[in-house]
Amino acid sequence: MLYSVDKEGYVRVDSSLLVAFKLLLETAIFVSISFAAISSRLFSVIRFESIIHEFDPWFNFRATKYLVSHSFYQFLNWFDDKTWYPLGRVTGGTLYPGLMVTSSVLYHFLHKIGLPIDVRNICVLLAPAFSSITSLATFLLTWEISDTVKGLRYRKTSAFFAAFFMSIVPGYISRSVAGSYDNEAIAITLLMVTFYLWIKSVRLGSVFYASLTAITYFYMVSAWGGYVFITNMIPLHVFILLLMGRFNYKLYTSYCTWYVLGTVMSMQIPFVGFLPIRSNDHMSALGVFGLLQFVLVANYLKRILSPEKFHRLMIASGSIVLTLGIAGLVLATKIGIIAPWTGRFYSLWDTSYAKIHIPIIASVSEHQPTPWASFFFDMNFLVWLFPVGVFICFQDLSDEAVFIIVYSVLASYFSGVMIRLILTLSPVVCVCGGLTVGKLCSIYMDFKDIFNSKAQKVSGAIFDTFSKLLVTSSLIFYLYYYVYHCTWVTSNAYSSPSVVLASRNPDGSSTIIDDFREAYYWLRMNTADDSKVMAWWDYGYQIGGMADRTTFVDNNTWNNTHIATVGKAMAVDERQSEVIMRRLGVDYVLVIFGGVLGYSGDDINKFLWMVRISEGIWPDEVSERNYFTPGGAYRVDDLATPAMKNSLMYKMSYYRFGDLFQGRDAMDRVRQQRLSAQYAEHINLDVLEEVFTSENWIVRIYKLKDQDTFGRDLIDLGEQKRHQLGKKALRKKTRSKPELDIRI
Amino acid sequence: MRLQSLLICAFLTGISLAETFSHVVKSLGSNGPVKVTDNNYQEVMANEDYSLVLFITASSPRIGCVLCTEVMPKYSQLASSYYKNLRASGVLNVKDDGLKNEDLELNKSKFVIAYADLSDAPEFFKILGINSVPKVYYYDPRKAMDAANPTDQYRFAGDDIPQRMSGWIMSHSSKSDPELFHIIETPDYQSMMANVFAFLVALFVLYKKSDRLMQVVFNKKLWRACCMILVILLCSGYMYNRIRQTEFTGHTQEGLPVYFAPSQQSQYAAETQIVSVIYAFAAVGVIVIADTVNRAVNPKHRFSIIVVCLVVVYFAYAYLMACFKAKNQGYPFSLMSVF
Repeated sequence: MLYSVDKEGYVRVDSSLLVAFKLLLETAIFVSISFAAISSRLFSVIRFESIIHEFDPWFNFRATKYLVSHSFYQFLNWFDDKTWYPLGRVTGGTLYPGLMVTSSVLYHFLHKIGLPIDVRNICVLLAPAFSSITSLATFLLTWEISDTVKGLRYRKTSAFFAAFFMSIVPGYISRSVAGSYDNEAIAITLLMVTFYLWIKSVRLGSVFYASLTAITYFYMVSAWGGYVFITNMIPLHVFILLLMGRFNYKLYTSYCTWYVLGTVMSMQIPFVGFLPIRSNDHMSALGVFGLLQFVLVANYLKRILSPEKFHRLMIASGSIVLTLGIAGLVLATKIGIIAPWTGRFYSLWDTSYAKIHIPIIASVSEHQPTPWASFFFDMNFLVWLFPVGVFICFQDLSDEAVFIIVYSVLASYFSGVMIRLILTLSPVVCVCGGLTVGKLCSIYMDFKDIFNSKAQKVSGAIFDTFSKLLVTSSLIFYLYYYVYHCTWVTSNAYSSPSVVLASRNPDGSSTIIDDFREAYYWLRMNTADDSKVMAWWDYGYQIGGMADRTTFVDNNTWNNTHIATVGKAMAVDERQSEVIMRRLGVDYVLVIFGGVLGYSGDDINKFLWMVRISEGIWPDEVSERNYFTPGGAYRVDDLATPAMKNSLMYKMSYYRFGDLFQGRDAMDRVRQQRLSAQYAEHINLDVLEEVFTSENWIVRIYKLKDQDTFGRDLIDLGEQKRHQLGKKALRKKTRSKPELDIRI
Repeated sequence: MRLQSLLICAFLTGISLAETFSHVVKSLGSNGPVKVTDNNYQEVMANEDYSLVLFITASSPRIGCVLCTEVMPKYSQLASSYYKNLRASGVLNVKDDGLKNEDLELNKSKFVIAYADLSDAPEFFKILGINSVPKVYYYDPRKAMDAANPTDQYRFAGDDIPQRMSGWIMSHSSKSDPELFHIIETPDYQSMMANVFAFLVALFVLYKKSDRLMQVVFNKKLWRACCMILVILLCSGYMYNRIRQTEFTGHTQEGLPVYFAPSQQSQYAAETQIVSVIYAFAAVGVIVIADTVNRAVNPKHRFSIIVVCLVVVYFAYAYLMACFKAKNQGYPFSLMSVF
């Protein structure tokens, strides 16, 4: 019998049935959490279509397509001659292959089992799929932690809450919506899995779990440059445990196994190479490894020596090791065996360093510090549950809780310095939030006493019941509100592909602006296969991915000089620019212009960065000051400075812009400036000819004219032509133009 | 009579205004660049027989000029080693014979290195007519009266080491002596001594009071409080203020203080204080509910504590949301209307 009714009328249920029921419930909760995680990331797919987002994902997508059609070794040796023309890029050796390998393995696996899914769909949906694994890993991690925290009666409750928070926390969603096919999409999952396995191996002291940690660490190294976070987190955890006097053989076993295996494996990634034994980022891991050996020997000697002898030995050997260590470190850095702090890490400590010395880093908004509103935006009420979780971890201060404390402090520092790193903070915030809510639940959601007649008779029981009801209801209210907040943030802030823009017609109906793909498709269809397209670096990956044409610079900003050359070609006048373009071998030039539509992310707004970056290389030829009016204003209308008016970028943006307005003054809707009709008419281009302008004028493509057959100067020719055209003819010419209809 | 006194006046002012090189260096240039203020700019800018190098900066955090603070130490190092070299070479000891040296190239090679800070010389900045800092201006001899039109201007290039700057300065005169611009690395003995002293004191305290100290170091409550405060501070945008050196509050056009920056991407320093206090209230409220309340034996007391805490948490949260709504106008949710 599975259940029976006893004499007092209670229903007695068989324990196996209860276990089965529990399992069913847990599975159901998990399925719903995964469902929430995946479905909340699909806004963009439903609103637009299954499309790769933004910039970097386009490169990853292109690399994945290459990997799917070539062998793995070909991929590792891939020399890409379609970017950074004429330099090319050793792509295989300068990327983290984890993401591409993951999706190509998935692709081949699905094809093997008879599900022929397109590469693009795999890439688009990889991040949501991995987010559900992240929630699972968060569940396991929190479970391990809550095992060691006192006062948590229902351990799984906190773990489930942590998983639920993790599944929809906007800080993580920001990097893992469908279509955002970036390294972070799988890296956060790996981060959580690695941390879970690490905690598990510290608890058990098992070589098996430590090796698993090393394997996931290797996977993480292959997927994201942020693996350095783990490389420093784990040693720091061990180091703090040592300082607290918590050395034991479990710790020793797990750390040494992880360090040796993990380091050797991470060196197999071509891009990482010998960094783990050279760069300072990895030195803390090596140092702690050495320290552990030292502590082990000391521990052994302590057992066999008398206390006095041991004391003397400790002092002597301690001072020797310290001096030797410092001397060795200084010497190795001086000689150049150890690399100094790498640029990426430097900008973590001191962002003003990067701002001054590396204009490219400063121009990327991801490297900005984080204001409080972003924390709240990305974490909602978890932001004030977070300190409570830290408090709870301190109660019992187990080895595992120490890990969470170290992680919280370290990650909140990093995320405060760089807005992008909120991503590494959000998991620990979810764990801490889960612990807090779990604790509250274990105290206040326990309504057994109501049904217990004995407990009812204790005086004041009614007050306890009331307080339980109050706490429970407000908790449910906050949770309910959290879901609303996350959904709103995801749908409004993080679900725009930025390749396709959503807009509204004057009558309020929504419309889609698809100029980018229109232009890239035009390039793909109407230009020669080997033609070279010059554009600012932001669009390099997209041109490579969507138009499949050779670019000069792209979002992998490895060669500052090359970027500055392109910036200079845009910033100087036509005559100088022609020289640069001919030398580079440019066929087409692509600019983004938002003046018609009011698209503020256009090239004229980014123009100052082009000027700044090229000024860094050629301070005598380009000067930022010349692009501002004497009053210090950034103008594009009649009052713009001569340098501005003559620059190639300006001319390409406003060429024939006046024609749109049929004799009225032309209005730039981004900068809210008015170009008078006569002036706008006289913006001319001689070395380039317009070949394509997209529907809303966002993308304009120009072709570099061939050199004159008789060796005449193109600009002189243009001047002559304009001279011959009398004023009358000019007027007639503009009048006879076809009417342009723009949709805004 | 009147004409005579007028003439004398003109003569006197002429003398006092036209400064000579040795006089400026002796009277003003001591260890670093000559500081130009509203009181002395008329004297310094009247450069009779020297060329003037002027670094125009704004060190006040209100302006938030990162490059200014970055360049200033290098510039003063350049200036101080220049003046030191000058003194060592004995150029200054040559007696001022009162005769005006008419060799322009020689005059050009005598540089006075000066700087002007916005907070010390607002009047002077109006004359300069400047709308962006930092700048380094160079004036030929006798040209600095017309302060707004420098002879040459230095271009910042990211790696503005003193050598690059001194090369630029020297390029203005064929007779300039590279020896004078030899950079002298002066170790900062004062801070070094202070550090050594502090270290020794710390060691001494450690030795003498090690037991007491260990009690503090191993105090769990202290660490707990530290960690929580740190986490709360960092999550309320403390690093943003440090890196950006934001203003404490903003101002409306009428001059009233504004505590909340209108955009989600920026903030004032006051916001961090307000928000961290809110976080602290909410967190402490939850901690009392989750942890400490069980120590109260009397159920009535327990109930009232819980109610108070819940109310505190609710209002803290509602206020936080109102603050956020003030920064992000499109935010649709609110628990109470404050603004």
